[in-house]
Amino acid sequence: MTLPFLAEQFANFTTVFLGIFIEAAPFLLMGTLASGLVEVFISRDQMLRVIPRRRIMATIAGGFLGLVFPVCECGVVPLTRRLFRKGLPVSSGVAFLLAAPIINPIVFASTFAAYGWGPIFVMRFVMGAGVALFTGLVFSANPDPSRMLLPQHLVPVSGGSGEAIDTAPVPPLGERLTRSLRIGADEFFDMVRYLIVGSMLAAALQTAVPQSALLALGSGPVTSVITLQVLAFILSVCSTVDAFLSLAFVNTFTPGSILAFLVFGPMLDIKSTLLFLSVFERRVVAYLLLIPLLATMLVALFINLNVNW
Amino acid sequence: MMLPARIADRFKALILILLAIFLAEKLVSGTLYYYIGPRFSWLAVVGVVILILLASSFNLLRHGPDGQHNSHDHDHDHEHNHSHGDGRVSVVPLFIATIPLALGVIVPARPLGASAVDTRGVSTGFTSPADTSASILTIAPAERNVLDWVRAMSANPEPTALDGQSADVVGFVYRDARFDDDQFMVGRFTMTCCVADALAIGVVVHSTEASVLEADSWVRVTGTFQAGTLGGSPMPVLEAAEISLVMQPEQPYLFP
Repeated sequence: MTLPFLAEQFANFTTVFLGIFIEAAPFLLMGTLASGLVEVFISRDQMLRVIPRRRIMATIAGGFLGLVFPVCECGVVPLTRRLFRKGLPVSSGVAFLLAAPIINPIVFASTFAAYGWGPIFVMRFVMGAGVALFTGLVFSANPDPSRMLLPQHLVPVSGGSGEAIDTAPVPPLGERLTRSLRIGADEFFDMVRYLIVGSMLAAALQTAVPQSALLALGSGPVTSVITLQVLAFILSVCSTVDAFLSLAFVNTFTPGSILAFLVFGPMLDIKSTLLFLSVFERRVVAYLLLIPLLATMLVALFINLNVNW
Repeated sequence: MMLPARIADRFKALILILLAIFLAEKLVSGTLYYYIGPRFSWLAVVGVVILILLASSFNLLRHGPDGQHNSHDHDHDHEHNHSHGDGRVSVVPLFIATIPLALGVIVPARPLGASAVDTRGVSTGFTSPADTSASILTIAPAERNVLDWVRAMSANPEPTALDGQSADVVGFVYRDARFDDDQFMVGRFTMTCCVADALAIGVVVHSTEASVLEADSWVRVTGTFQAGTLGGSPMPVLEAAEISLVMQPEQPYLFP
């Protein structure tokens, strides 16, 4: 069966799109489920008691929150959105958003399975935490962080969200669970469109742009880093499995570029960038993209030019 | 276009159920593996369970004492898709959520094949740090698939390295400008997580029947490796003794 060229390309586009979607949607679902549970079972007061008061400490705490909530880059977005509504400071939310897809037990396991104990394994987490905390701290310098979020994620000044649970008598457990599911369902519909549009863009790029041309670009210490960062962004593969994928590049690409792939890819790709648009103002998403991109690039270049593995 | 929230809720529940059926059908029919690797099939199971849980919340709440009321603050002054029982919500998010369903139904499920090779690239080499020539050589030559052979070639890149070894492999027919009229490639896609990372690999075959084989058809090739060339570069080439058309295997991809 041979279809005309365009029909062939459309069929291939569909296969890749559904591949990305089917792999990512369960993670988004897990994230929305967690988000619904957080909304119903964690009050704003409890949240504020746990978060350190000093911004720097709060940012660092955010960076390591992924150890408690093991989510990847799709699941982390609904959860962060919900935590913002519960009063999480923007800087720790940003650190959580960027770090959680790397600093999390599932990613430890998959990276260990792919690389074993070694410099790539260790550096992935050191660099990931470093870049996420750096970005979080940059955001904490902003005097008016509330303007970064879309209005619906601001903590209500009076009435609303958390307080309602604290003052009203606590409903039975079954009802609270049902309500958390209902909130999760609404959240899923709020976010899945970003995932779908992002997966379609990624699939379209993969169908139209020859990967071999991209891979041929990069063996130098500088071009290899940029190439694998672009590739990580376009491929939009889930952070829990990207370590296996990067093995394919180990022999042809520099160690710095592999690390850039493993650190920048989980933080940002086409679908997660679109998901960020459901939380932050557009201008903020641009910074969220640029700061980790440049920070990862600089560290990777430094490794390529100064470290000999 | 806006919909009353109550109607939108029914559509939401319906879409969640349809997505669950969509995933479950792929899981049961095995076409799930056209999209993601078998070691991630648990993801689809998790997806189906959560989708059903989320869908069930719509029905249950309607009978609850609390009705549709939820703990959201009712900030009606901006466009927001959380339904509030009485408001109106946009149909756009609902429409977008049906795109995977629509494409999944309209476009027949199909794994990547020869037509995808041109943009994804094809390689006659494949290595991973776990590869050693020893680990490949433990597989008997008759048992080796296309990936095993390609690994063997990467482990020992001498064009004469495989001389005289007999092979029996299955893959799709692929050719591009580098191939002579009496050559083609028996190719496979390898995949680690999902088709987004699929890479094509293949073994070059020499056969007088090569020109009659249609691109993308699945073939089984038996023969013996000899040193040969592809587009001028020397490499092991499979001299075909017999080529037969076969059905596409249940697992069209290979998993390194």
